[in-house]
Amino acid sequence: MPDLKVESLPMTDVPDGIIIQPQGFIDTTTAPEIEKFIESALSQKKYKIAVDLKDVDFISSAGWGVFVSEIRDIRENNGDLTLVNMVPDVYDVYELMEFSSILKSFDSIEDAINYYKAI
Amino acid sequence: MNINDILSGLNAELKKESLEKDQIVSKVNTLVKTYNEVIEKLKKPAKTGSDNIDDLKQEVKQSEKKYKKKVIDLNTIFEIAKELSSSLHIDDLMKTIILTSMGHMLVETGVVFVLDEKLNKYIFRHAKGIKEDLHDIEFKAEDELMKFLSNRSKPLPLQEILSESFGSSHKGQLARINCELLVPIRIKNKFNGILFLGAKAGNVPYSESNLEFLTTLGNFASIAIENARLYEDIDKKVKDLSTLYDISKEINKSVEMDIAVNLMIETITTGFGASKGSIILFDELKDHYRIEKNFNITEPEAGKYLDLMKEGKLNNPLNNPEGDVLYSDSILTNGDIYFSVPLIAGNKKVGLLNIYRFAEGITVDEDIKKIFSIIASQMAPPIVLTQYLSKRNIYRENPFDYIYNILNNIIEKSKETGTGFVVSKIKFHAPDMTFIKMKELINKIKGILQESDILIHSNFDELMIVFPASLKDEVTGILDNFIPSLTNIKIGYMVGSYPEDGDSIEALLNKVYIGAGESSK
Repeated sequence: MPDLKVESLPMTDVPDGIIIQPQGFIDTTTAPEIEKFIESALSQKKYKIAVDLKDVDFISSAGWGVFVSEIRDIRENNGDLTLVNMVPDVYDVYELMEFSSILKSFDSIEDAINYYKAI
Repeated sequence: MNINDILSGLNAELKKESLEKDQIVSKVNTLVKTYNEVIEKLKKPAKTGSDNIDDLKQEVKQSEKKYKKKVIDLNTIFEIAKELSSSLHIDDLMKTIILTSMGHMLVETGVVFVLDEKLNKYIFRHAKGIKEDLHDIEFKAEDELMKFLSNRSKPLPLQEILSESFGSSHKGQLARINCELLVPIRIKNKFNGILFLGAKAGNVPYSESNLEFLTTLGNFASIAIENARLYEDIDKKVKDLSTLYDISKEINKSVEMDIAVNLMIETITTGFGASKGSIILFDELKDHYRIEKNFNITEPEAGKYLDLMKEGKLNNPLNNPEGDVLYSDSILTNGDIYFSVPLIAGNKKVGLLNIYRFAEGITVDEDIKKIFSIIASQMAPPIVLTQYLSKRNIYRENPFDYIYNILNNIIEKSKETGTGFVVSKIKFHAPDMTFIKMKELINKIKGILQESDILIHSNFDELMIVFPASLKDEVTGILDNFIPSLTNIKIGYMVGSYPEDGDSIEALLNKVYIGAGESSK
């Protein structure tokens, strides 16, 4: 069994939005699991995706790859994929590897929702 | 001393002096430069101790960042090496390679092509970040581009490829792939594929460290592809043998020539890639070969006796007592080949399995010859048996005897326990029904049965099930729920219950076989 559980929730007041909540490690083994959730959201034309990372302790390159690989399609459809509530270890890598240049991040779900309402 | 000696002495003195002058000028120039630099430095305000500490802090920060990035590089390499050595599915492996490269270097698109050894082409395997279907793109191994890449171990930027003479011919393909960097997937002399990466976010150029990382990734990927290929090869052989075993069991059970021949054709077409051919049987009475059944050819038609086997014409199976596969790749017509497998049982000539074409991707090699020799060895004995039975009109066991025996037992148990049972005959029809599809259907039906239910008779298009201690309504309910879940297949069923619909086996069979049963769909 992969060490990752994923759930998705509707985004309040954003009909084409979705909150994806992974829990555990996102590495080469578990990345396909979160990829499935993102692909499913896209197939439902939900292009405003907030990934709530409060319960994610580690993201490997393959995990970051899942987010980066969908961003083009998402933005072409006037949406965005954002990362929310990153724990310090994950945030360090996000900063260090300069993911901030391509993926927006927020400290709270409310901030992310406000951003999606505005775009 | 003559005048010439005096002159050459003077010349030497002058040269020495001139060299010394040059040296002095050079020294003066250096002094002026140093003086200017000192003056420039003096003009600038002197650095304070705190400035120096800030510089040092900045340097330490940069080094720390560099160090942390290197640690992430190594961790990623370690993780990917672990993943690549634990999976044997090329598609999963390639997906991991693409996602890791994209995530590690912030690349928005990645596409991978892998060498198909049989087709000798690099074919599309996986893409991320590109929605367009890329399956129509392929690179022949003998293409200049592939030859060029096969000698490179390090990633190459698109510009380098486009500046080569062959670059322009691939410009369109590479644009569709959104390629900015080509990463050869190779190890030693084996060039197994290419990873095409798009531009990095913000069009930042790939760094030296990125290229080193990708070179290592390409090497790992190549080893993983090799391992996966070996596994796929073994897996295919096991599956081939398992299919062969299942179908040869069915062929051996059948006593009808038509069923046996159809199963053989199904085996070789769906299981082993034969796409065109004939089953030719030897007619002992006429001492001649006759076409029993064709697949995907119309001429010469089935039933026709052949003179093809006359001495000197193509390969002559009559002169092939060992029963080896005869193969000639000389083109017959329209690209057809000649692949003839003698059907021999004991030392008796039974016929020939002739194949004129295989599906794309199947190469006629020693493996395929061996597989078809095994198929032929499994096919020949039941053919002899069916020929023998039909010629001598020998009594065959009544197929109903088996059903009678089982129903008798169930009736006895019902009498002992005082419970009834329901019998249902299910008939199915699909326009393209094959043995494999039929087996899948029977497995699905088995999935809705209880452990106590008994599947007592199954034919190519029908089966009978006994539902002990059940009511007719329960059974029709189960079947009515099940049937809509099937697609592209027609199902009809009859049910009869014991003792309500008859207290004898004949009465029950009459209900379910002749159509007097309660329900029909």
